[in-house]
Amino acid sequence: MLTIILGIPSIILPGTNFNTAVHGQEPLEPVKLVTVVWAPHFFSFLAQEKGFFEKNHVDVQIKIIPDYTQAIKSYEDGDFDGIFEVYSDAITQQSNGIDTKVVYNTDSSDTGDVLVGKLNNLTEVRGKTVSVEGINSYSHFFLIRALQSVGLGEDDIQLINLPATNVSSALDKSEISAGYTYEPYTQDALKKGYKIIFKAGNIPGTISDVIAFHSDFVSKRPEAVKAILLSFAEAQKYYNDNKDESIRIMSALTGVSKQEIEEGLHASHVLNLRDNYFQSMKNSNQSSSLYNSGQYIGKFLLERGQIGEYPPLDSIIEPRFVTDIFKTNPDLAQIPSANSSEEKSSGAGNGSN
Amino acid sequence: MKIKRKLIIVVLPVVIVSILSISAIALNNFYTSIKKETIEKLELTGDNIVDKISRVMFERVGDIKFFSNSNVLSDPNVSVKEKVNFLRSAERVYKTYASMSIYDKDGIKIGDTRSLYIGLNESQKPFFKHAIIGQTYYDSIPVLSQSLSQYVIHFSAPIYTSGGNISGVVVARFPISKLNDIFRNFPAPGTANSSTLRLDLVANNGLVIYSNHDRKSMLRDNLSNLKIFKVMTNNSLPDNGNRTGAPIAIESTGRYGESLFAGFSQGHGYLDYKGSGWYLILSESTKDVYAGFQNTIYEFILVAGIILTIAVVLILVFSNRLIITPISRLRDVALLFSEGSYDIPLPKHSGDEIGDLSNALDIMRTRVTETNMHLNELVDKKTKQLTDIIRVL
Repeated sequence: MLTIILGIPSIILPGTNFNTAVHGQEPLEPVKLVTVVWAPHFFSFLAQEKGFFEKNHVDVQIKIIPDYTQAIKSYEDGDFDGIFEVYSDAITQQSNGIDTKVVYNTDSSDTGDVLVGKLNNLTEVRGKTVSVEGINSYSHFFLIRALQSVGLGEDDIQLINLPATNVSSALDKSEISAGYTYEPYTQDALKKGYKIIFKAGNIPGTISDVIAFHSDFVSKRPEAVKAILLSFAEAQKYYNDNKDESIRIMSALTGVSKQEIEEGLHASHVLNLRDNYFQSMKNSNQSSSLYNSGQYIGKFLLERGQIGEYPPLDSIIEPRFVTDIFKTNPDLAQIPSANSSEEKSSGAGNGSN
Repeated sequence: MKIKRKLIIVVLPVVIVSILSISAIALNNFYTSIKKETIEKLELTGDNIVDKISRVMFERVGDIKFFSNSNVLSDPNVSVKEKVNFLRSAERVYKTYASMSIYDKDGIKIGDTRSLYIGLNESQKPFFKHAIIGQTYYDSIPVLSQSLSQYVIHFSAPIYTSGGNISGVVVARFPISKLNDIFRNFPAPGTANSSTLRLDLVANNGLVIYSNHDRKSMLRDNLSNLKIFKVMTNNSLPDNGNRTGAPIAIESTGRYGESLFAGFSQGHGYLDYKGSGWYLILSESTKDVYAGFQNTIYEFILVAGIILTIAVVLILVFSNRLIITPISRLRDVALLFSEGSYDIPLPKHSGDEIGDLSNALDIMRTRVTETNMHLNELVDKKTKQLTDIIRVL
């Protein structure tokens, strides 16, 4: 009790936070973002270089951690406020107590995520060893969906856990007959003569990358989140208008070659603000809707003991920033959608959720 | 020194001491009450969590026992592929296991729901060594699964043939992240909708299995040096048939400063699950616990100050009215007496000592007046006698 009484002076000014800027402005701490080597995420570096973040009054620090698992862990440990990650990981995080909000869909993989191997087609994997990057992870989910698409099942193959970076060398050593990998590592395998036997684009929406933030951060600094997304969308627009310069900048800042960035961008359906507004953040049955893909991803994870309940997608997906930016920035909203046919079929003009 | 000052010097300390004494007693009672209430809340929460953990683990033990005695797994005429598909169906229903495997009696993995490492010899793994001799086994400390690259608890049991012989082993891998289903109601302090409660589930060697406030510590940090852990491990003798050992509450310094800790031993588990030797540690920083108490102290100080001020004002007003003013009047009258004026009657007072003094002075005044009158009469009489004598002469 004495401690309590003696402690009175220390709490004499409750609620005083000297780290908070005065006059109602945003706190000045930079927003920490983490990404892996994935070209559609590099627009954030372009936004940094072209001063879009600064223009929108947000200080952002972006770090590349090449090892995806390590990047995820760092985010989950609280080392970063936000992350560029695969959508299914945001769902897993939510279930595992890392309250996360998905605020933007950066891209939907086409040839960015693939199964490469010595085979001619996917049906030939029956009875053979196939690798994924993380059992019960998104890559495993991708493989299962790929197998199902050609009438095979989990029991038709032997599975091993292997980092995507090692697939090419494992194929060389005949440890696997096929394996999951992504750009730029796909190119390593292709250069050695291996073939793409299945690509994510065959089952749209299975592998989507998103920008996600800790829910707490979204609650405390919504203006910063909005500013980051606005800057990201502006960077995407800038890229459309100045491709060569943009790729040169992204290459210089990330250390990834211009060719690899170009290949990486072609390997995915890069989604802009309009795509997000009309498709990703819209609750529909379209394959491009995060609500739709979230349901079958959630079922997969749930049945494999990775999450504890069907994912509360309304809590995970936070469309208000996209909606807000879309409605207040007509110049960005007018950039044509990459998937205009879906826009029409999903009822353009109804707005997102 | 004036009476007013003397009164203040005497009365004020008495009032202050009285107020402080009463405040101290009241605050101490309040402090004890808050502490007791918090400990009771921690004990209730802890008991519930430990019970829930034991029930979840019991269900897993039940699952593996069910597979152990399953006709499908024990039937030699059912192919391994069909057995694995049976386990896959079970996985989809239970929604709890990361994978399940079947081993032959030599410890070779012959089937796996994830098709992982078929043919791998795991005969030296504890889950196999215990199950193959007829025991139902579960890890007391989570293990990094070689096949899954994920921390899991293995549940294993023998597969019996219809003749009662052991033909192999069935293993189910329970991801440790599933424990979050139990703890989801206790988000990390400082996050949205969170409480101030910190929660750590630790193995019997002190290894952190789950933490709601420090994810980095999970399956890495060891809390065996924590005072509450030492006290628990020294006192966690099984009690009389209760599922859990008696909770222990102490106030101690932890990584978040002075905190109130409550520790729970898992004890005997629940039914067929006999416990894993785990401990649950709940803690709340005393700053959070007693935040209301500190506000109460502020209020006490404020109220005591007001009472003290009122008391001083009342003392001054009443002493002035009842003592100082009457004495001053008596003093004035006494001064008039000294000048020979005895005509002014003394004011009437209540029956206190000042009244008595006033009455006595009034009696004195009356008697002095009477004496004076008598003396005057005598003087007049003598003067007249002298005048008469002179006139005769």
